[in-house]
Amino acid sequence: MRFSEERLSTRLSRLSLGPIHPQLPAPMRLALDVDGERIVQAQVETGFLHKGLEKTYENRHWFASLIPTDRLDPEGSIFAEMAFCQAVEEICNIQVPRRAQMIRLVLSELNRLSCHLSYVARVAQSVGFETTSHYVLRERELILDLFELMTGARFNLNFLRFGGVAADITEGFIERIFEVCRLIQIRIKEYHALMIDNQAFVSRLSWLGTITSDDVYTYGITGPNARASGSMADIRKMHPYSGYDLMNFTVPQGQGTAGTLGDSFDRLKVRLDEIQESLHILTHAAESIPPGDYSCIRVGYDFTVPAGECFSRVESARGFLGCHVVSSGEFAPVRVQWRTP
Amino acid sequence: MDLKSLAQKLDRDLSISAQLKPFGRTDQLVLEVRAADLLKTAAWVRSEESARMDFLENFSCYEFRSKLVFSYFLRSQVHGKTLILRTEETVPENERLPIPSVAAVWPMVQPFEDEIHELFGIDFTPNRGRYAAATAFPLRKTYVWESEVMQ
Repeated sequence: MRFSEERLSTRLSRLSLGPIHPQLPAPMRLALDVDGERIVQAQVETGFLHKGLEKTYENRHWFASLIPTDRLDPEGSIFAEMAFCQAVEEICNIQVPRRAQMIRLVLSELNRLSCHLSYVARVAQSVGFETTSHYVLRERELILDLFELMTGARFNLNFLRFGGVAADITEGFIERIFEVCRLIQIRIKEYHALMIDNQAFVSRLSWLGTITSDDVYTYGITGPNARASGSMADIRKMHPYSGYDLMNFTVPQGQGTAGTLGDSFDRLKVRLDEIQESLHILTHAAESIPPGDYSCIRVGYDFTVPAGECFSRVESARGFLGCHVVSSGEFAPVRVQWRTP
Repeated sequence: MDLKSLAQKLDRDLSISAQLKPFGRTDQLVLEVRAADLLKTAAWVRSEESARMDFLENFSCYEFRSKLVFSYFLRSQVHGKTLILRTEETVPENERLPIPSVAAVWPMVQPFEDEIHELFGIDFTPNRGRYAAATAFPLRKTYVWESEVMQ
């Protein structure tokens, strides 16, 4: 029996996902036009998780403002703490001790490792490589253990303070960093064998979800996703902070080796390369933590910030994180605005 | 790039008088223009050879002393410099406020404008089909958040 063209419909199917769905990383609505297994077009609607964070700051003492800051991105909480503290310290003209700066840098790079490993695990899981995903999460667990050893928390660290950090380095922390860095360095080679050198894995990511350099510009994309598309922007190089100017590291870029520049494979590869760079930075920073104070002031609920404003920039694991803080000299901020990646 | 000479060139080229104000206690200056001149100034700093502010890092708004302050944090990917462009408007009580949209100059401003539209009650013109239903604007100082008690 022969079918006429009219009877063999080739229309696209509309698939609606979310806003709440177990496979989605966060609440969002996806309206997908699919042609068989291929997504032809996607409409994304976000904003279902509005926490009212920026209004919350207006009713908080400066000291208490650090608590909601962690909730900006629970997986990468140290970056938001860093951006907020740097902005307040700039307005108050507080010189953070060198030791505290290095501790902040170490925590930042550990957090970057943790976020990137999570990303790799999520990608591995989404393409059906469950075992690889578990291997990667096993290593991330070591980073979370380090956070626990240093700060007492695994996710919402709440460890940075205006003028420094909450506590000095705990016993055995530096030694554990070297140990974990050595181990992850070995594991990275295994990840390469399991993912980058595995044609079955590569073919599921190459040529997929390409972000062009025009897209990077139009949507203001930053961080590893932009660098995978050829951008070189990295706040750690452009506006060095907290001792990054003393660190020797390169900024990995996408190459388009498996498919095209800026595809899903490049985004994964850039993160794996950044993990290696972070390991170098971590080892160097942990070796060069100077003696001295871990905080220059003790901040309590009576702490106020003089009138002024500042826009601080931090390179978070997801990209450019900016924090615009405005103070009128009173007990609470006039405005804390976040530029999220 | 010297901001003073940039402001003078802006005055010469477009007859727009911009004010230079300090940004916090940093060395950086803010280029402040009237809201009516915002779009022209934005297009000019984007295309002017000595500025080339082609990337918008951030767009923020805050209310202070009955004024709404709009700050555009710009970066030149060519020269590697930054610039803060600013405009101020008096806050209309419980009314929406029209401000020119700079989406034609920096397309990455759209998510910021969307958020400011909803939270501050600002109508960016031309309208991109944003729905203006709200009559209370959460990030204005007159808004009282009942569940949040001042400590």
